[in-house]
Amino acid sequence: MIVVGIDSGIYATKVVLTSNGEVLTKAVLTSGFEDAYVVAERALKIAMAQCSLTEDSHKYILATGQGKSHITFADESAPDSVCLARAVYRALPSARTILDIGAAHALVVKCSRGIATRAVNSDKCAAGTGAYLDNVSAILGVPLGTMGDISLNSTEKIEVTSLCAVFAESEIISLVHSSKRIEDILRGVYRGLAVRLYPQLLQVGLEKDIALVGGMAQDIGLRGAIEELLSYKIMLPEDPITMSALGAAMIAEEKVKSRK
Amino acid sequence: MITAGIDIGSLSTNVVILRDDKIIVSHNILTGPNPCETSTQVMQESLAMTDRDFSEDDIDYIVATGYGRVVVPFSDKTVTEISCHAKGNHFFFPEVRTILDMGGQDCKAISCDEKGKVTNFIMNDKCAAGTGRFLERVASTLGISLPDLGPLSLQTVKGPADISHYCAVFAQQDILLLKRQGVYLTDILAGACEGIVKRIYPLLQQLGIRPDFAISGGVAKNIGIVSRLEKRLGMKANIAFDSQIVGALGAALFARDFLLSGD
Repeated sequence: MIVVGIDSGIYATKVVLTSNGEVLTKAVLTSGFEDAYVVAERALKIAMAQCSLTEDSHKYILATGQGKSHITFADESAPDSVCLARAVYRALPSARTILDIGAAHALVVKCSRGIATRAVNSDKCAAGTGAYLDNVSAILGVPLGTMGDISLNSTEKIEVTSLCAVFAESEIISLVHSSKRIEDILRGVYRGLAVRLYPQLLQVGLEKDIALVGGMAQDIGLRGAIEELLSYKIMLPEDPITMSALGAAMIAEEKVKSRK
Repeated sequence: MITAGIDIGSLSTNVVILRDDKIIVSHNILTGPNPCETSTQVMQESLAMTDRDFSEDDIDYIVATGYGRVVVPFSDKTVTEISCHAKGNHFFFPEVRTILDMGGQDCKAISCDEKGKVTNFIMNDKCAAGTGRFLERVASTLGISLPDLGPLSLQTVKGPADISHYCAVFAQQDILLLKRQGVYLTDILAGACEGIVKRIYPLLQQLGIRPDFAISGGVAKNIGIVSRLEKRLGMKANIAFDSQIVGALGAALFARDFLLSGD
């Protein structure tokens, strides 16, 4: 039987198809302004087609993510923290703390053998999320995907202290006016972001190893800044963006099995 | 006796020149990228507006306030904007005991005594929610001018739209979505104003609201915010003829006090 994990995020909708514990295929679509279930349905259709499955093949669907309650065609839903703990245990068994940085949230999950034991989510404020970096990207006119690499060429230490993404705009503009280099400003942005995430990590009781997942996980600037602050390496799974969806599929498999 | 107050805010810079207890000039310009240059420019312009073509030497004492107060090259002393707003509001409304100063980049709830002296205050300067910046962002997202925002927000069709996020960045996404769903512009604006009031109200509540109540700062010019806040508080808000000059007026009054006491 095919099981489906759907992670309906603010920015992207991810679908993972598995069968007997094996990943069959994945699909990632931009969530846009459509209803969450419309995008999820389309992503599922694409994933099914990739495996030459027809729409009426029997499947069990589990939804997670911010839009999970809107995925009306799902059989069940589960919290992000539960799904992440499962998937990260599969990919990086030594991880004890998961840091999930998405477009509009930062979630820290403490886990033990695939079970989430504590979770702290922040999704009320753009500080510490992808939205903050997206705002920086817009104000500096530097594509989001290249910011991390650019920041690696920094030579001067600059502090970007604004907690608020909106106030950071004016702070960055005045740094540009005072002839600071983009490389240094970006590095300052990443270091500031790491400082903001730190209390949240402490709140769950930071324990090694740490895994970084979510849409922002592949940003080398952000990862480097967090590593610098913690002064040890953090782990990155192979496909950090689809971890929640993978976990959702794994839980779906468990549900199906326990029914038999 | 001629004294002056200059208030360098994040968005606007204001000057008030007093002859004894009378305002002879009040002037405001946008704060440029260099607040030091802005302060010199606004002072030159203000002096040119006086009836007797004053020069800087004719001013006996100058007090600077606002976030940029330390960079003013010609000030005799600096005073925090919290003290200045209390003093300025007290000058216009002697019965005032609770003040809300809503600026471009922060929001302060201030308690003062019968002399206009600050007894307590709470401020938010960490986050754009509940500040002028939030409103600017709403206006630019919807392509309307800031002065139109308040009046339009009072013309709701189906009531305030639900903008669940208080974060200015996330609220902007809410607004784009509402716009796409075809929600009336006025209803979105009403929702945005409600959101700000919801954010400001706890500050006042925490401080304790004693009448009379006054609002100053740029956001006090927004009828959409003021009327909703009045309704929420069940209390009339006193607002000076120009709410943006209150801090500078307070500074000029401090300058007068310092001069008289020989400080």
